[in-house]
This record gives sequence, structure tokens and C-alpha cells, in this order.
Amino acid sequence: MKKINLFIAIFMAVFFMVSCNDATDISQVGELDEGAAYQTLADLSSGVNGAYAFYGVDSGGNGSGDELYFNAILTDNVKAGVASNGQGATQYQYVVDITAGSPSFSVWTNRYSTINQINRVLRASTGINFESEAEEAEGNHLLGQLYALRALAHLDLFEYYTVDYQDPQSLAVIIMDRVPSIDEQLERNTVEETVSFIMNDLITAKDLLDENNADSNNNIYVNDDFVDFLRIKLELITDNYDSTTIDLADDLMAKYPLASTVDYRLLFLDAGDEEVIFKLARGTGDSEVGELFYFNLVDVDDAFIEVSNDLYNELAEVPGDIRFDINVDASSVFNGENDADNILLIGKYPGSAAGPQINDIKVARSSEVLLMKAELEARSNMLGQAAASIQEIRTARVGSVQPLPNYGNLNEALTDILKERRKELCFEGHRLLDIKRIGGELNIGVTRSTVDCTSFEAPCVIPANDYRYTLAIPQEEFFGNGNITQNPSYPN
Amino acid sequence: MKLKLTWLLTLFMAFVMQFSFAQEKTVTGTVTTASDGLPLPGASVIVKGTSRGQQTDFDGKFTIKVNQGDVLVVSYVGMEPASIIVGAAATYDVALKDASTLEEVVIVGYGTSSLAKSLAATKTVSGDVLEDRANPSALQNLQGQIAGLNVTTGSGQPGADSVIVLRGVGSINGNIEPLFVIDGIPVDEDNFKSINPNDVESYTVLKDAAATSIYGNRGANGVIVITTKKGRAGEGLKFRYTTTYGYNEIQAQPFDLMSTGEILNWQRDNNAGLGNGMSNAEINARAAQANTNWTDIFFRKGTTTTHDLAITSGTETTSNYTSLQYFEQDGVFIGSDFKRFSVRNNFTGKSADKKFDYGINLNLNFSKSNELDNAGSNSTFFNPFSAALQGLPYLSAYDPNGSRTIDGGITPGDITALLASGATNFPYVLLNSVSMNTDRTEEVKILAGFNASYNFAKNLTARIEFGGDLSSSKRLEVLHPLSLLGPFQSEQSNAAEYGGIYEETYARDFRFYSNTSLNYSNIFADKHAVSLTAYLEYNRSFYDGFDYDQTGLDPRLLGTGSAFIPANTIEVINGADTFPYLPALSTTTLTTGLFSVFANGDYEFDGKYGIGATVRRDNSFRFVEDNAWGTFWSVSGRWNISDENFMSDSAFDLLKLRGSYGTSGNQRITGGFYGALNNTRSLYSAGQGYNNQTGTFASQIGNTTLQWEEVAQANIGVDFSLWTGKLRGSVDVYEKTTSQLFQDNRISYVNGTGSIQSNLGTLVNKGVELDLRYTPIQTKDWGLTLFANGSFNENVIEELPPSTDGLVINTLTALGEGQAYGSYYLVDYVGVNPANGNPLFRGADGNLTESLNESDRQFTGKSHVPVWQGGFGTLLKYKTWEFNTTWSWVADVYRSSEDLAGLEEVSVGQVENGRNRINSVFNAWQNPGDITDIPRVGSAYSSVDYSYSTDRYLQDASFLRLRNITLAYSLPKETLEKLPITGLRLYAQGENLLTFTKYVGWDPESSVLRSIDRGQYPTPKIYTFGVTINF
Repeated sequence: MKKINLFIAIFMAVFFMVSCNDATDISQVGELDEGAAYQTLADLSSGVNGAYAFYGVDSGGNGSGDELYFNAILTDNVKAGVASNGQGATQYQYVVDITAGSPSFSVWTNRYSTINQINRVLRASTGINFESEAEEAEGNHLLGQLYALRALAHLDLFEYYTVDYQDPQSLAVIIMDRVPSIDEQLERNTVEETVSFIMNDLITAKDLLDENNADSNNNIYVNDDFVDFLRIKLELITDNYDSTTIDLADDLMAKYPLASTVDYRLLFLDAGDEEVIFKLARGTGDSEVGELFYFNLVDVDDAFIEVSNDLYNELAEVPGDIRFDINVDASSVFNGENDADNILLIGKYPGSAAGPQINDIKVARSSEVLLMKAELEARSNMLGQAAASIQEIRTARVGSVQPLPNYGNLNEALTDILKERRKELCFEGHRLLDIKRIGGELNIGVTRSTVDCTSFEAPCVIPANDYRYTLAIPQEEFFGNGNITQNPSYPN
Repeated sequence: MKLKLTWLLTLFMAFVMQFSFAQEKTVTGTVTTASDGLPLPGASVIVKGTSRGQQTDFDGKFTIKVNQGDVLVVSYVGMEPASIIVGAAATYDVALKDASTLEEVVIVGYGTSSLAKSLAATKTVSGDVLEDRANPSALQNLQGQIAGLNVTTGSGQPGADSVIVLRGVGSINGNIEPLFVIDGIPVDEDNFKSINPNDVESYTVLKDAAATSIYGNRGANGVIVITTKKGRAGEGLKFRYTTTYGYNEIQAQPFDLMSTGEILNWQRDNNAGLGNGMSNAEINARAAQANTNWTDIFFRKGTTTTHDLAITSGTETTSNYTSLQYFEQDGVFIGSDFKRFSVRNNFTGKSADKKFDYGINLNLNFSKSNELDNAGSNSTFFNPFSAALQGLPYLSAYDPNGSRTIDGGITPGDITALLASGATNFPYVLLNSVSMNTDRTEEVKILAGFNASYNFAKNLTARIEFGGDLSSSKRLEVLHPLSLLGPFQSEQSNAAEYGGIYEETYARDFRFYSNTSLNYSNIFADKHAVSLTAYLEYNRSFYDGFDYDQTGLDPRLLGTGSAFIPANTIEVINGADTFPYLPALSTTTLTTGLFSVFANGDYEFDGKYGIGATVRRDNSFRFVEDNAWGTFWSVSGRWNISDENFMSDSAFDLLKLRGSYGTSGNQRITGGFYGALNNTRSLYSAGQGYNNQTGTFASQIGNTTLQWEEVAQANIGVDFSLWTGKLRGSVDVYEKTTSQLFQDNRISYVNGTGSIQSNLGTLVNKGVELDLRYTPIQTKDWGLTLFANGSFNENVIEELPPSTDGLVINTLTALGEGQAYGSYYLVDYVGVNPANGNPLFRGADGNLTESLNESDRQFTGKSHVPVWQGGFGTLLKYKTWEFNTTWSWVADVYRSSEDLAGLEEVSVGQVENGRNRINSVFNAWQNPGDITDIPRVGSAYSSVDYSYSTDRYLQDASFLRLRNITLAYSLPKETLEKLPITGLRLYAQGENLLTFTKYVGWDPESSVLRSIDRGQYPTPKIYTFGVTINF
């Protein structure tokens, strides 16, 4: 029996040796905390890179998505596609949906995620020691980008969730200038507070950004010019502009002239950068913008959302307008005006070297600057100058001199500007905001051709100033935030 | 020293004998079993009051020297011992009866007890009962066998994993399956396909706290203890060989699919599709050309082949069981099959004085399965099951030369052919993919365990046990470059020169376990039995895996690395330099651990009364600070009423009342074994960021207050046996409350996320279980046993996180306070408006509306988890014939049938969606005043809207199924005597031959967690014929 006793003794000894803490004090390979995540300038740079990565105006697919998608589906720019299985039908029908996956959810969550990332990197940046002045300058340029992106994200939220941009005391969005604690439940800030916060971020960004930094000349990163672009937009929509705003626009136009018709085509093939102030780079493995409208590729059998007949007709108005060629793919099947069997393929995102559905997302182009300038001029009672600005863009797009419009009053000018914005910026995430802001002023709502609205069995007219043009605070926010106020007419 | 002493003693005795007056003589005899009269080798024959004795030989014979008047005690494991008084005769034949059921061994956590003495609610199913079954997975066979145990298999893939739920779903986000223990070693509950069911001796389900608290942080969902077969000490060498062969096929399907003529007519009526504008003659011509039933093309009759060899042997101090199995089964869907080779060796040995014993279990398995991806997917070109159901009949399944097509004449990469007419050609694509692509998993699984115990001092026994479960798998998925979808796979889609994907996934999962225990047991004054055991336990597990995914394959070299087009290959596409063939790579390393101390004690008075208590402390690596250690406990008691004097004349052999209350935990709060590994810590991660550069971002917000989910369970039960076991059974009632449910607590999205997981909320399962077994006939020739079990379980979510306002909406279902888990939350579909053919829904305000609004969703009171379930069956025996049936049933269970919805698709623009219909769509609304249940063709809502948002296709998925029917014949004893074998049994059995259900879908049986059926792999019917030879 001694050998058995010995056996037991040996076994017990081995057992107790191995079994102390190694079963309970376990961390997994590769766990990274905040301090370890951001230690050097390169880490800071990769944090800023993360902020860009979060910002997803083009995210979505198969019947849901962020602003590029819903500015199309909620307006008069699209109809059901030939391959539709109902993608987007309920949105097109204006069925109120504020749940997860809805447009209001997409923007709210994406922008606040982006802001959270920015604030985390800003917080961590205070612990980074730069080793030289050059490093510090580089670091400041990175921080400047963060402030500019934070302003951009807040401005997006402001535009979609604020009913009246010009009523200082009404509710806008939650200002988030820090990494919050998980139990914070915040009410929305006022328009006045939000606008001033955005403006401050723009000023801070401008201070920190270094126009001599190499990235300032690469339009896939934000720079001083983009900060100016945001400033023009903010001042315009909040009715807070003056002549310096128009001067800023002129400066930008001088620096970023409108593309020629040839360059315009290259621009959307991502083979040229004329007139682009800032675009989001989209490469291999990134979100595929084409998936917002197609299952696999631009093809007559594959589109679940197509160009509406209404927009088609408008783009076809002026012969030779390059925007017709850009926005309506050449393989479209056109049977006749407003024919229900027309297959009108969205051509703005034809794919690029990165893949058949992948294109860079143009966030700021000088044509938009010019359109904003025209509006500033019109609103400053400079109707002639406004007409000249509109003529300038039309001339550039057709490639030959176009007639000078004649605006008898502000409404006429705004009506023409709204139309021109539609042609120039369709499928780039503007139409819903334009109908909300400019359309609201002109009493123009979403008006779809019969042939288009019946493609989804949807209402043809959504009146101007409909409450649904301002997005709802998403239901999901209410689950975690008992203090926030819903926009008028929406359930909460 | 001791041996020497014994020898001396024997010598002394021999001398003593010399002076004895008693007459010593030699007697012989044969020990047989009473039930079949076969000789019983290895039975022990001992002279009472001495240590003299021997074991019967291979023919059951013994020869022993005794004195007249001595008593011989003949015993054998599992048999009632017999005593013989030696008289004048020289030959004594003994027939041993099967042990009374009351002495039947009952497995409880970390030990055994007997039916009469057990304190816990447990139920054992003998492996023999399930041995003839043709399922590769042992667990599938348990369906309908045990009251309260829900076994569902949502796939007909041979070897598919089953979902096992005991006494209702006890967690919302955590693990819901029981802990599985094989021969003492905890194993992966999701991997049973590699294990040979014929090695199983018994399955025991531990249900109440008396049995599960001892498993602490892993016992919340019950425990299933599996023991494998062993040899018997003293048994001679025996062989048992079984071979089976059989067929399997798809069960009857309920859809009245349209023929070519019908679908073309319907398309013509609705002005779209191929039929649009066709004349009758054209339609007839087309119908004459092709009328394909795609179900027949994709499904087939498969075969099953098995070979099993078991060898058992034993000596006085050792026993051995060795088995070998080869199992091969085709799936009923083309391209799917399963093969397994397994070896097991179970050895036990003990010292001559029987104080020390040890055992080793070693099991090696290799399995290989070809599977089909994307069951349930909504991806047209990837779900083969949808193609089999919805392919259009006017597509010919033959090439012009008359052979069965595998591409429909489509050229790979031809986008127009793929997408035209609503992707009509998709069945060809799937047929092509199934024929050309590979999806194969190969697995090596090793289960190994060692145990030893030593009764080193009076009443004290030390025991050690350790073991491991190793699963190592390789999955290969090849999308063939020359298949129809091959050219689209690179980043540049079909613009790139090479297509195809080659993906290999390796995973190794090793789980180590060890346990050391010390037991004290004693009986005081013949009446007070005490047993106390203390345990120390250690668990670790390690997961390693890697995966690569290569796009761009040279078809000539497929199968080797040489086929991979190098990543640095540049192709000029649209005038730009591109890298179309960048591989994707990943690697994973995970580990878990648990350290525990625990103890239990039992006290019994006079055999009639017993109490027990357990306490366990678990230190899980998952939790920190105050929650690092969890404490779980239970108390239990029994009263054997039948042992009381006043019951002595009753018909009860056993009437036992037992009760228990206690707690257990669920540390797998996110479900997976390797889930929630570091949720207490805030973490950052790096990955592909912007502009194809690396970004660093927050990946997790930590929550240091996390803990295990806690289950408190009360159980009262009665075990009974009447008329010497003729009627046996048990009844249990229980209430099981899960608190600290791990759920999403909602937070403001300014945190970058809308929720953080926390321990909040409560749910309750309450139920009754009944288990009965009645043997009305038991004669020499005839035997009839009827058995039935059934359970009722009511599940109620009592509390959700406050931030949810008592409602968490999921896709079809929602969690609601006061509602059962899995309750459907849908818009009430009322019917079709006779005025305009639009669908009508009931709004939240009770008024009818034609628009489908999310806000009109309501609880339906129906869940996809059944309330009632059970099984019953018969065992009929006549001489050596057996005829057995087993039925299983579930009731009060619902599921949405998207398969049916898709076949009734009439929404706008969908007439030409490339899919077939059933004949009911001819009833679609056409004219004002039509009363019908199919909306107008061209109405607004699609089949997806109806099946995901409304209750239109929510169906009663209750069923009664003839799970198994077996007819067997064994050669009678007389015939065997002339043969060189000891037994021969022939049998035929069928699985799933009959099903009664109202459900309109491929298979009413689906995973208990599935709320909707879309293109799933239905479970098959299986028939097999088998022969077992013993020699």
C-alpha cells in the first residue's frame, strides 16, 4: 500500500502547485487599456484615424442607411428599382419609424459615436509627451482635425434634429464636449448654445490646424478650408451671415475652381480631385456606397432603388448637362417620358479602382460653396449677383455659356437655387435638408410624379414643413435617457 | 508483510480443519440469469461469513469446497443476490433475478445513490433504450425521453447540434443549455457529433437544486451526466458486433406548389414574368418541355451504414471495455454527409483488498462532414434550401443533351443571366454551388479521464479525478473559381482575372478539469448513516484558432497553396492599378478558468429519513472584486413513507416524498463558453480604420459590477413504485427563479453606444413534470410496458432593466414584463379588405388600418418555446420478438413560416421575382366584394413584411411525431446452442416516420430558439436494418 500512498502524495503535491491563482487571474491576450492605447504621436494619429473611420454618412444598404441613403429615399429623387424586394418601401411611404435601423437612429448613433471617439482621443492626448517641436506641431494639426470633425458631427446633428435653426431658445441637440459617464441623461441644448459650441470648435480647429502640414493638401483630411466651408454653412442656415461670409466663399472659390465637364466625370470616378474640398476616402474593404441602391453592381437587373422619373426629367432639361450623364447611368433603359417600365440607374457611384461599388464620399465641393454663395447673395438682396452665381455653375456643367437667370424677388431666386441644388447635389445627402429648410420657406414639399410614387404604392405629396422633415430623436435614446425631449408630433 | 500474514492464517486454518467434525465436500453449480436463462460468467460465489469464494467461469459454472450447512451467497452487479444452504446435494444451480428497481443506481452530482435513497429530482435513461437509433448525435435521441427536457434540432444535417433546454429557458442572454459531464469530465455541450452513442451506458438528467447546486456557477440550467460502458470484473472475453444499413429521405412537405402550367397562367393573369402574353398553346408547350420539382432535384434518398464492435473482458481485479465504430450517413440534401470513426477504451482496476481502485477512460474520434452553408439566409444566391422550395418549375433541370444540368447553361460571371427576370435562374446557381463548392469540417475529438480512489483509513476515502476534452477542427470552404459565382469573389468582382475563395479555419479547444475529494462515511448504531465529502476543483480551458481567406484561385491547381494568386499581383482595372487578391487573416487565443471548493453531507436515519446539504464556493475569472467568489448552496430532505409500519400492507414498494431548495449560478453570462472574457474592463482596439490605415478606438466600456446569473429553485417530488414495480413513476413540481439576469441596460447614445450589459432583471419558470412506466404484462412469453412523460412549464419575465420600461423589442418577438420568453410581438393581421384588396391590420387603438405600423405591434401571448411537451411509447415483447414505439410531442408553441409567406408573395412588382408560388395565390383579391385571405396582387406589403411584422404567418408549431419504431427478433436459446455464437439479433427501425401537425412549413421541429423558418434544412426520415452478433 505504500506505493499507493506515495502516488496520492505526489499527485496532491502537483495539484496544489498548479491550482493557486492561474485559474482565476486571467486576462486575455491583447487586452489594451486607454493609457496603453495612446502613448505616442503615432498612436494619436491612429486615434484620429479612428475618428474619421467612425464618420459614416454613407453607411447602410439593403433598405436602410445614413444620410446619403435617406436623403434619397425620403424625397422625390428616387423610385423603386427593378430588383426591389421592398427595400426602403416603408421609408418612401413616410411610415413613421423611429426604432433602431431608422434614419433618425442612424444619424444620431453614428454622429455621437464619432464624437465619443473624438473626445476619447482628446482626453488621451493630454497624456502624450511630444518629443520635439515638430512633433508638437504635428500633434496640434491632429487635434485641429478632431475639433473640426467634432464641429462637423454636431452640425449634422443640428441640421437633422433641430426644427427651427433660427430660434435661439428652441431645442437643438446635446452638446458633447467630453467623454461622458454612463449614467448621464442629458436634455438637448438650445439652438443658441449648440451654434456657439460649433462655432467655438471651428475657431479652435482653425487655430490648431497647420496649413503647411502635408495633410492639409490632401483632401481626404479636413483642413482650414473645410473649416471655412462649415462656417459658411453654419452662418447661412442660422441666418447669421454678413459680407465676410460671402468673402469666405469667394476665397474658397478662388482656391477650388469648378471642375470642367471632363474633370467632373473624373471626379466621380475618383480619378480626379477638381473642386473637392473634403472627401471621405473609401478603399478596399470599406463600406460600399453602391450597396445603398444596388445588390451587387450598377446593372439593369440589380437596382432596388433608381432615379425617379421626376429627377430624370429635370436633369434632362438642358441638353449637354454633364450632370445628366453623371447621375443617370448609361445602361439605363428609357422607354418614354414617365413610362412605368423605365429603368433609371443611379450613376453617381459607378465604382472605382477599389471595387465596383466603392467610391469616395464627397463631403464638400466648391459647387456647393457657389450654391451657398448664391443663396447668401439672394438673401442679402443681391439678386443679380445670385443670378450670376447660378449662371456660373450652369455654364461649368454644360460646358458652354448658359443664359443669366432673372430673379424678380427672393422667392424666385430661392426656387431656382433649390432646383439647382437638386441637380448638383442629388444622391450626396442634401435633398431632404433642402426641402426642409429652403422648401419650408417656399412652401415646397416632397412632390413625386405619379409614376414614381406608385412604384412603392406611396403618397405622392408630402406637404411643405411636414414634421417628418425633421428627424425624430430615436426611440433608442429614450430608453437610456429619461430627460430628453422629443421633436413635435413624434411619439416617444 | 500483510500478504505473509494472510498466508500464515490460511495455513493455520488448514490445520484447524483437521480437527473439525464437519464433513467437507466439493459442490458444483451453474449461475444463470432468471430473465433469459443464459449462463452468467463472473458472478461471485462466497461462503457466507468467510472470505472464501470464487467467480463463475465463462459458462457460469463454479466448483467450491464447503461444509454441509454453509451458506453460499451468489451475487452479481445489478442482480438480486441469492443464498443457498448447502445440503446433501452436490449440485446447486442458481438463477439470479434482476435487482429490484429500488436498488437501481441513481447518479447524482459527483457520486451515486439509489432510487430509494436519492434526495434529488433526477431521471436516468439507459443507453440500451436508444441503441438501435440511427442518429449520429446521441443527444437527438433524448427527445421525448425525459420529462421537462426539451431537445430540438434545427437542421437535418447529419450530426447537427441540438439545443437542449431543461425546465424552460432560464436566461435571456446567457447560456441556456445544461452542463454536460461525461464520466465525470465536463465537456463542450455543443459538440456531440463525434461521440459514439453506442458507448453510452446511461444519460442522467439532474434537475433540482439538490442535484445541481454542487455544480455551482455552471449548474443553473441543470446538468446531464453521461456514463459510458464498462466491462465487468471477472467477466470472460465477449464480443458484440453490430452492423446497420438503411435509407433516409425528406419528410412529406405540405406545400401545393404550382406546376409550369399553373405558374405561367398566374403570371399571364398578372401581366408579368415569362407567362405574360403567352398563348395557351405556348404555355402548354412550355409545360411539356419542363415541369421541374426542384425539391426532387435538391433532395435525395441517402444511405446510412454503421459497423460497431465492442469487446469486454474482466479479471478478478480489472475490467475492460473497448469499442470501435464506423458511422456513415448521407444527408437528404445533396452535398451533405457525415462520417465518423471512434475508438473507446474504459479500463478499471483495483487492489486485491479492493481498497484502492482506479480507472481510465480514453476516447478518440475522428469525424468528417460535408455541410451546406446559409440555411435560413435571405441571400438568394446562397441559400440552397430556398432554391429547393421556390425554384420555378418551368426551368429545366436538364442540359440539351439530356443529362442533369449543373449550371443551366449559364456562363460563370454572366451577370445578366444571373439577375434577369428577378434572378429566376437562382436554382441553377445553387445547384452549381452545391455541386462544385466544398464546405467540409474535419474534427478530432479526444476525451480522456483518469480517476483513482483509496479507502486509506476506516470510513475515509480519498479520490482524485482529472481529465480533458480536446476538440480540434478544420473547416475548409472553397468557392470554386469556375462555379457560376466564382468570378465575383475578388475585391474587383468579375473584372479581376481570377475568382473563387479558399478559406480554412482551424480551431483547437482544450478543456482541463481536475477534482480532489475526501469522503467520510459511517453508520452509527445501525440507524444513523452519515456521509460527508469535501472537494477541491480546478478548471481551465484554452482556445486557439486561426483562419485565412484567399480570393483569386488558379482552377488548375485547386486544393494546394500553388492555386493562390499572390497578394502582390497587380491588375489594371478601369485604368487603375489594383490588388484584387488580398487575403484576410485572423488568429484567436482565448482562455478561461474556475477554481472551486465545495462540500456536501448526507444524513440518513433508519433508512426512512434523509437530509442533505451542499455548499459550493466558485471563483470565476470572469468577475472581480466583491463578485469574484460566488457561493451556492442547497438543502434537501426525503421521507420514505412506504418504509413506515402503517404502510406495510400497502401496494407501494416505494413511496418517497422529497423536497429541495437551493441556488446555482450561470457564469456564462453572454452564452458562449468563451464569452464575456473581460467585460469588467474598458478596452481599446486597433483595426482597419480610415483610408486603409490602422485606427485605434474604444472597443468596450467595462462594468466592474458584473456577476453570474443566479438561479434559486424549489422542488417537491414524489417517487413511487407499486405492485413490485409494475407501476413506477415520479411527479415533480418546481419553481425556478433566475435573478441578476445579464441584460442590456440602456444608456444615452452620447456614450457612443446605447447599452451596457449589466445584471438586471428576473424571470421565473414554474412547472410540473410527470413520469410513468407501467408493465401490465410480464410473463415468460409476453411482456408489455407502456411509458409516458410530460411536462408543463410556464415562463414569465418578471423584471427587465428599468431603462427599458418593461419592453425590449426584437425582430419578431419582444421581451415584456409579465410575458413569456420568446413571445411574439407583432401587428395583428385581420384579413383582406373586400373593397380594395389591401391587407387590414388592427392598430394599437383597436381600429382597422391598411398601413403596417411598427407602433401597432402587440404581444400575441404566443411563444416559440413550448409550454407543454413530452413523449410516450410502448415496449412489446413476445418470446424473442420485440416491437417498440416512441412518440414525442410539443404543444402551445408557435413559429412564423416565412417559407409559406414567400410562396404567397403578391406585393407590388413581385410577380416576376423569380420564385414559384403555391396554388392558393390564385385566390388573391381581384374585384370589389371578393372575400379572400390573399391580398390583391400588387398590394403594398411583401412576404417579409407579413412574416416579420405581422401574425399572418405565425403558426401553431405543435406536433406529435413517431420518433422511432423498432421491430427486432433475437435467435432463441435453443437455436443458439447449435451455433458458435451466443446471440443474434435482427432489427428494423424507422425515425420520424409519422408527424401530425398544423404547421405549414418544411418541418415543425425547429430549434427552440428560432422564431421564423426560412429555407432551413428539414430533419429526415431514417430507416435502418441492423444485425447484432454476440460471441
